[in-house]
Amino acid sequence: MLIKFTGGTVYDPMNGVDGEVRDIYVQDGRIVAEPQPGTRIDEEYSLKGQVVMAGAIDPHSHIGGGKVTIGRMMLPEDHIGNEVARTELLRSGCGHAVPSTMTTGYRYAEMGYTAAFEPAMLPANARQAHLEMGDTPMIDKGAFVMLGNDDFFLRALAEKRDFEFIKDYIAWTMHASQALAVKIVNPGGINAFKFNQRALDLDEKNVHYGVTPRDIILTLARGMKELGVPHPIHIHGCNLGVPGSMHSTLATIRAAEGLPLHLTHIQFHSYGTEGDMKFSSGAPQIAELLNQNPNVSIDIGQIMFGQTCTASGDSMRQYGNTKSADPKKWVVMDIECDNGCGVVPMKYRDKSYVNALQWAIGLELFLLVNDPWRIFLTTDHPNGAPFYYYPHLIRLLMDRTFRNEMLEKLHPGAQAATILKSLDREYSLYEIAVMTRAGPAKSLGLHDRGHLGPGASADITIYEDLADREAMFKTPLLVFKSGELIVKNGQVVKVVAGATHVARPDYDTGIEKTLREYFDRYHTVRLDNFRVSDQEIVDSNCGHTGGECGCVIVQPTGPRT
Amino acid sequence: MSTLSFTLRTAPTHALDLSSLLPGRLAQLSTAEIEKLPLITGVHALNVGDVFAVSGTPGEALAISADSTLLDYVGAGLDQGTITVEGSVGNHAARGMKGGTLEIRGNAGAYLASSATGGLVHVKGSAGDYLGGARPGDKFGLLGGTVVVEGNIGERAGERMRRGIVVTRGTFGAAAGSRMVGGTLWTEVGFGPRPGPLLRRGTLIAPKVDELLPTFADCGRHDLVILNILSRYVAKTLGPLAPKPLPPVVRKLAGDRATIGKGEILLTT
Amino acid sequence: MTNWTQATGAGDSRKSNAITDVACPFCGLVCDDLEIVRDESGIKVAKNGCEKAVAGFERAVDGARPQVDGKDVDLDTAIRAATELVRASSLPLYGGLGTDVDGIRAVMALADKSGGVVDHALSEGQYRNFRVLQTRGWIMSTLTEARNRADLFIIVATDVQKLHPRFFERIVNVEQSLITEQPKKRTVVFIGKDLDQSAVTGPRIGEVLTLNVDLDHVSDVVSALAAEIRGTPSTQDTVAGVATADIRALAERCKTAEYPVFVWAPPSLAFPNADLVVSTVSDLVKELNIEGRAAGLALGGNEGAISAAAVSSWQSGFPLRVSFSSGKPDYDVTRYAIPRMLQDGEGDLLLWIASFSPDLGPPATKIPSIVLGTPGIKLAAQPKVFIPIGTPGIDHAGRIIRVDNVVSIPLKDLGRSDLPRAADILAAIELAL
Repeated sequence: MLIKFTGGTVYDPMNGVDGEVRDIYVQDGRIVAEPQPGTRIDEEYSLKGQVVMAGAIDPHSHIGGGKVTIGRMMLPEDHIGNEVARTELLRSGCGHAVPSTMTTGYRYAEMGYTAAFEPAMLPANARQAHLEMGDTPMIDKGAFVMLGNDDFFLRALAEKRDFEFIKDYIAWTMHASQALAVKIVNPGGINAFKFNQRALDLDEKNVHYGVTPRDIILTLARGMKELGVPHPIHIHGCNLGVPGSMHSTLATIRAAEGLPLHLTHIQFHSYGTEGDMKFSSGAPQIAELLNQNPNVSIDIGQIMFGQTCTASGDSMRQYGNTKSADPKKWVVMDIECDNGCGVVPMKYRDKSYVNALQWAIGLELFLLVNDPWRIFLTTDHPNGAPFYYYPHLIRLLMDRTFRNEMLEKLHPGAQAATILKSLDREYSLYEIAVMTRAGPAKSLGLHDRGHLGPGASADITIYEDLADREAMFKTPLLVFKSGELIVKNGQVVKVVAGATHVARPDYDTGIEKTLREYFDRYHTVRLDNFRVSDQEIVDSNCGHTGGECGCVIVQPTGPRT
Repeated sequence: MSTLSFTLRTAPTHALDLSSLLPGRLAQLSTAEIEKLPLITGVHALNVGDVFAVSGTPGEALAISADSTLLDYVGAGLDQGTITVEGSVGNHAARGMKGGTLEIRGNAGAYLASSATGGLVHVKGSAGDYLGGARPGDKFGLLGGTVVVEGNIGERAGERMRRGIVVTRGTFGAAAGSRMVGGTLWTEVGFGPRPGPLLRRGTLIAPKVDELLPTFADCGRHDLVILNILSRYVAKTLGPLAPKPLPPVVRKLAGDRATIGKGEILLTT
Repeated sequence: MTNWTQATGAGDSRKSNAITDVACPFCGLVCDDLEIVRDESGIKVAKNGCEKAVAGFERAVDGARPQVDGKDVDLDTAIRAATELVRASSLPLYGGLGTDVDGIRAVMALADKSGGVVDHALSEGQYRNFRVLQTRGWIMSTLTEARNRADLFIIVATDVQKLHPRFFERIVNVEQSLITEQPKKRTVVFIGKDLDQSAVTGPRIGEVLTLNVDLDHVSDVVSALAAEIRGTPSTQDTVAGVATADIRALAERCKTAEYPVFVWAPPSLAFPNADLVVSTVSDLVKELNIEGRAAGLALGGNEGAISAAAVSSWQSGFPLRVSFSSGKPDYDVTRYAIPRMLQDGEGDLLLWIASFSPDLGPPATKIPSIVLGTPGIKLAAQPKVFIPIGTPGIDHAGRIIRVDNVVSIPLKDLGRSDLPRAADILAAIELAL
């Protein structure tokens, strides 16, 4: 079956296409080159005047795993009044900050997204994370596994084990948990909290292991590079949400020594301590340093006003944040000598100085960082805001007048404390396509996603070119997943399953001997039961959502060095 | 006063949501429109007309003639006017009520007046568990208004209640005032076992208590001016429904010390 | 059927007919270090089996046939009869729910389509915890974390040994700790009378203390402990028969311990308003965390209860007691408690699922019932349709979520029988509707 998309205005940054009128051909779920003249076209979509992009990719969204489900259980009020009825096609569900899995999949697709990545999968909780992602239809999924707070890793570091051993362990964990990348959350801090440390800055030592966040970050950064994993170490840095965290962030960028790093939800780590409120924006300094360091990429974690729920592996900082919990209930956990978690409901208020400035800091970063290939559009769903605020966020970036109107409604002190009004930059459609498609795909190593060149998966989103960019991005005209029409005028018309993306760097299986002994000695799960098999993911993606069989896609890794 | 009457045709088999039957809302509608209002949606949808015979004139008052524990959310969200029920109702009656009067001439089920902020609820019979209590997903239970019950009240009345007054001619069941943060529970007979578990703030008034928690401390007898004010306030707002005025001197027990413990049980004998 | 765990070199000893690293689904701990031997006579637990595991794995399930009105029929006929009952029902109740993750997924899909109610047989117990999670939250630990880190275990009103026969062996009396080469002995404190302490012995066990109090007065002692920890000491000499000095001493131990862990199983707190004890414990753990570290560890979760609540939460938003009758998930913990509904005559069909223990029979009811049960399940009355189903982890592969709500474990197909998966029966009914 050959489908032709005729005459749309195409934004495909990976192939250098910036708003050109082009025809696109799709055969058997993939984009193909223009066929020989006379080839039979089975189906044609005439897209004159419409905007064509690859399906959007969310590189950091908490969509699956235990802490999200703790949030779901803890917050009936998040769901009551937000229930979604069943239809002939769709399952019922609910949703606001922590929506049910099926509703999450439908909403992403209805917004033109065809992939989202769970950034904080605990190895101990990997199976459940995949189960939940398996129940999230429509989109491709994948997960970043959390390392660096687990006692095995910290012991290895403290014992100064051979670096190849540590690389083997990283790679083994990625295989066992079926991960696409590796994340470090509050490097060493989650572990330190278990020893009753309440803060851990970049060069502070974990009281038990004597290692610092700097040691951990550099080890993992080097490990990812030498294992050939495309996505660099995904860092949720020290001091999340703490006034003054900007200094840890600046120091972390400098600490990289040229190694690739990705700093996630950097907005939460960009706070200074100036002014009467002892809370100020560190965005200009951080953006300046980022602009000088091409080895570092970021995503923002923009906040939006309203009720949400924060869910993080960072038990240390989330415990600190419990004093701001709204409503006043929260969960903090120490998990399996592996990790931790903290689930704290949060209400961001536009009349609060701190919240308003957080909003402005996120936007300052968006506008001050020059290279859209190194900055990705996220709200750190649901931590800054639920993901369906993205169209609103895109309008804030593309429409300076609108942005300034919003700014004027905020706490006056915050308005005075931000340079936002002086920033004239407006993102172009091309830059939005970079930030929401090509950039994440490139960074995550999704070689056949996020672009519209021959060989790419035919994940395509078509928008009406509306002046109101929020309306435009909220309700795409058409969304295709692997060449199938799944959404029409913002409504799901076909349910599909989506694949799970993983990366599998090489490792020496000899590590399993050490690991098996460690598991037998200390853990409550056997090594072979810890491991998540391919079959589990395939089965999870199949049969429950009325969709087609999903599969595991192994993305290529570079050579191990 | 014009009254709109609803008479149950046959006993329901599913829980019905009666929150759409509010005098203020129905006053704008024709009988035909009222009969089309949904009580259940979904596969087994039922409208008002399927369940009730509707008669009378829309206005300030609404009379429901029904007796089923499957009638949920009676008077939920009521903000003005009067609803009178001849018979018993199910759960969540008067939920989120803001004003007006709900009179139930039978019994009420669980979670009566949860998160209500105002108005008067009068139950001639008894009331179920968690009266004025927070439901899963509510920050607090009762937030204001007055509830009068002539019979007994179930367990856990006032769970996480914040403001308002609950008065009964009968008893409160076990663990009344659990995790309460404010407001008043008042019985003319007595509390069941162990009232006030994890009581933070708020006042529990009774002539006697079946069994006290060990984390309440006896503070001795007190002459509390506030009780006089309270007695006069309820006499004024409740008239003949008001409990007998409180004696000037009461025995005060402070607790619960398992938490911040700024609440009190006042014993009137 | 798929076996999700790979049998790799070190763990594989198939030549001797032994299967290693077998996970046991018969309690919430889901121990996965069992060794099973299979021969013509059936399955034997060769290593690491407690009495629950032995009873569960070694039970014969031969000869069970699907039945309609008590008469043997083939499976298709039984599924057709069940489908007709679901189709005719205006409010089907999906209860029991003793199954694995895929089983619950299939229940949710069917309940969504047929407008039914979902509730697990052990929800009443689980709600003692959920009520606290939904109002206050907590600080919790998990099995491996407690095993390596805890220096003080406080067992609250729970006969852990009876509920989880290997808890003390696997979590408390363990020789190694990854924190230190020479781990200190641990103190174990029981709050409650007549709790089995027989397994609280061995090289890692130090002092074993008991606050002797009747189950229905545990809340008094726990409240007094909370007050002592908060620094508002009692003036009474005794609380519910326990010396205040002993409670004070325990408070002191909690404050000086490096990682005290409070253990309770909500189903064991079988007294009125037991959620308030959970609330008190959770709050006092929070209080201890202001200066030091401490955590709770909730046990229970037998009969797949943890999986049921988790899957229901991620698919509908709510931890069971949900009705899909309106087409949307409608959450009401009072209204949609199936035991209460049956008692008050609500609902017109009970579909009961119990694939683990034969003791998890459906409650007596006047409405017609469909039972998807393990062979030998205790039935108070003859169901309209009975379909014998396999046990996940013996008759077919599966996955189940462990009691700490973090770890989920693959269950092997040990090939005991050809009994079908609950998930497949439910999917067939859903498809035929």
